[in-house]
Amino acid sequence: MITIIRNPDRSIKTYSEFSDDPAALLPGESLETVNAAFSEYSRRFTLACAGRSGETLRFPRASGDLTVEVRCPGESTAALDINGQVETLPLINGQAALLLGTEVPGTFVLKPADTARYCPAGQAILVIEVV
Amino acid sequence: MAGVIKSEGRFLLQPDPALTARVQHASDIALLKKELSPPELRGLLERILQRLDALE
Repeated sequence: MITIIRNPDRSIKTYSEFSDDPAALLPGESLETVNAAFSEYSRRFTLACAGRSGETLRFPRASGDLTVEVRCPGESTAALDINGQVETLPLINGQAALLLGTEVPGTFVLKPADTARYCPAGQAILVIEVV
Repeated sequence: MAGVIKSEGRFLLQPDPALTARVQHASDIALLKKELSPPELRGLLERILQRLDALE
């Protein structure tokens, strides 16, 4: 059993395997429980690059294309927010990959587009700095 | 946050003027060791102003 805290706009703020005190909610936030194991719930949407996930990655400029692996078990598509641009990827066996170019310096921020369904935190968000 | 464009199946960051200027930092320092032409001076000042603007 896990507990989910939702923002006033219904997006998922955070979740945990412990019961949160409703008194700790900020105005407009809400609490709900889901009958799932934490590890199962957290693996519903994951992003990885170079075998790393849930951390900020840094790559030199012009170091070649980066492959981001998207895993969304049991789904046929996954909508991804890439710096505010939404891209829907077809999945094969719950997986897909996309390429990021490193020609231009800056920061890629990848997260699920549907934040009411998936929490944009932990292994579901990937920040890649091209320096 | 920089925007992205999709080109030939790849996602690319749209150039940020301040970051692009920062990348030229070393060559800009080297520029100061010689007489600058008006276009070079204008370019150097533009890059300085772009980086200052990003700091504000």
